[in-house]
Amino acid sequence: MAFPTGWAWNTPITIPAAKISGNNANFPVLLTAVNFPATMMNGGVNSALNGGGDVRFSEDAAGAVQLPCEIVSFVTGGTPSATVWAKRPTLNSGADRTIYVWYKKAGEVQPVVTDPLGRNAVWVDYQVVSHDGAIDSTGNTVPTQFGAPTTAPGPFGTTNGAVSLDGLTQFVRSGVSVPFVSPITLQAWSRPTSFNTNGPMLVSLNDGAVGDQHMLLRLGHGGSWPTNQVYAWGRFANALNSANAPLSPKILTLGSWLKTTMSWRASSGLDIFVDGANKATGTGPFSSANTANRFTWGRADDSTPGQYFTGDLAEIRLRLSTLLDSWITTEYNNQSSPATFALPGTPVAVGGGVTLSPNNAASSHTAGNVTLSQAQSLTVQGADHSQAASNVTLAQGSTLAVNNAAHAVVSNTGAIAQAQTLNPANATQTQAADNVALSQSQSLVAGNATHGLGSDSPAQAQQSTLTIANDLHSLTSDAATLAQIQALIIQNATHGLTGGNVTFNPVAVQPGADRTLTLQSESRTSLPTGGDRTTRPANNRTLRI
Amino acid sequence: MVKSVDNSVLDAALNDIKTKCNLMTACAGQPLTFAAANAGGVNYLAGVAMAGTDFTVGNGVTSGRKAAVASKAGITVTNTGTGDHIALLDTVGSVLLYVTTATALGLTAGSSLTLGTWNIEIADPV
Repeated sequence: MAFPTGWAWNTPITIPAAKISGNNANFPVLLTAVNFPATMMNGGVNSALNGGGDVRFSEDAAGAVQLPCEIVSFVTGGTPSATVWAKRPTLNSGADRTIYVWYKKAGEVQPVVTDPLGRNAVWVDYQVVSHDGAIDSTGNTVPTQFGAPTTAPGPFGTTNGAVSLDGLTQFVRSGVSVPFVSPITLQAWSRPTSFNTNGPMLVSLNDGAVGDQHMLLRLGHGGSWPTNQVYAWGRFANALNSANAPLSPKILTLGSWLKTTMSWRASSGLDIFVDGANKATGTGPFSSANTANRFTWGRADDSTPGQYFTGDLAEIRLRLSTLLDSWITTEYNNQSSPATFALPGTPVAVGGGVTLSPNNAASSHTAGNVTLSQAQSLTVQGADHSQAASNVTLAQGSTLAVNNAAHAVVSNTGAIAQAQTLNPANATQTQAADNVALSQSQSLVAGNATHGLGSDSPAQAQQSTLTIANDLHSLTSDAATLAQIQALIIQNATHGLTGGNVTFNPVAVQPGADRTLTLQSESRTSLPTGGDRTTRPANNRTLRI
Repeated sequence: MVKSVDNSVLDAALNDIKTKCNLMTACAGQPLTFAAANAGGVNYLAGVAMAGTDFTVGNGVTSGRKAAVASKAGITVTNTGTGDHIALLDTVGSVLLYVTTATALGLTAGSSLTLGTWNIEIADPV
């Protein structure tokens, strides 16, 4: 089936007007993976064939005007890559221009290189075009490599897209037959990895040893010709009439790609362009009756071979015509930044079997958090706890249970309100407070242990009992006051009671049966208060003072 | 702490689509209404009849539950345009049940179209 019948997809590729300078006829456009739609390169259901066998180009959407193309490399899948050339009959400024790429047709292969739409047809205007220093895509020559040079990635990212030279013995040569008559254009992309001081050659068109005529692009050899600058050189006629035109337009950087063009446009002018810009013109006159028989890259190839170049070379071209400034600018726009030079559009299904792929839809799902309040409890399990607070307050119906462990309770005001109990369990407790107050119907029970109770005023109110259980207790106070109907019961133990006044009001100090109230040998005063008071020992008791 | 939902809760939503959807359409741009996505609507490019057997409800890929929508081939494109949305319709109740996006492709009237398989997934609560 003839093109475009059977092809499933085409995509417009637009070249913005701003990228085009002047009017350019038969312009080879460089296209890389970034210039093609993702679905064409991803190896999926709508992808082109890996290798690019089904890739074609046309100038129009219908496919009526097919364009010659060269597929240098084409890889589809997870890491796609491509280096492709398609030649437009014209590429003129003033408006956006479009190339249509066609793809997805099973079983297709590229036409043979000699086909009117094949590889050679892209470069029909050139004598030599070598992308990688190994193959001449014009079909006119067969390059010969000397010294076994290697390959390197090219200026467009193409794997093995450049020839890599060691600067010692390696170079490449194509045999040609080119009279030294203008116009002649030499082009090369170069990436030096060393600035040799021997004036290394990028490309040279020369007649070998016959008359030492040559045109060449080279780097400087030092001194007034710095090694990091590129020069165009033309040596024509015999030694008496030679005309050298060293031109010095550009500072090179080791490891960086540089595009150079040397164009002999007239019998009186040599122009050198570096990275698309016209940098210098050398004036002649230039003339020669000789014919170049070799196109060499990477060294001088005349009567004194040498001046080897160290680095990578790519896109080496020889053309027997003039390239206008506008062409050189447009060409540099294309080759230096393919991604911005041509922009892929939306693929269009033009045949059968195309697939539209819906995206999976996923809904998220959230639920709010619920907060628990009221009727909650805080339970402090048996362990060591420390609690410090200005006020320890127990509200109505609440219990603070301090389990068996050593607890330290520090408070300015230890208060027990109505119907509450503070019960330090059997353990060593320390309690320090300014005021230890027991109010109505409450009890402070210090269990069997050693307790230290320090207070300014231990006060017990009505119907209160201060019970000090069996053990060693110390009670220090400024005023130990027992109010109405109160009893101070001191159990069997040694107790130290120190105070200014121990007041019983109005009770009697009455030892129980077989008990003795002993007041020690200090001055004791027993002062009956007003009224008739009697200190009377009971039956068989002795009151000793 | 973990939140959970029974499969039956999520399946209820997915089965609603499964039982009611009888048309799937390819659209140019997001259709906002049933009419826009339906044949003759402003977004409509192509359509294919659907049935409950075209939906398979099961465990989600990430979590929760999903309905897998079957692929449909041999669809004739009605209108030329760029297909970038897919719609599921209930033409009985005139309901636009579900809309998803698609990788944009130019479609030409009269050409043959395949709609690839895709999933509707409702995740577990978080």
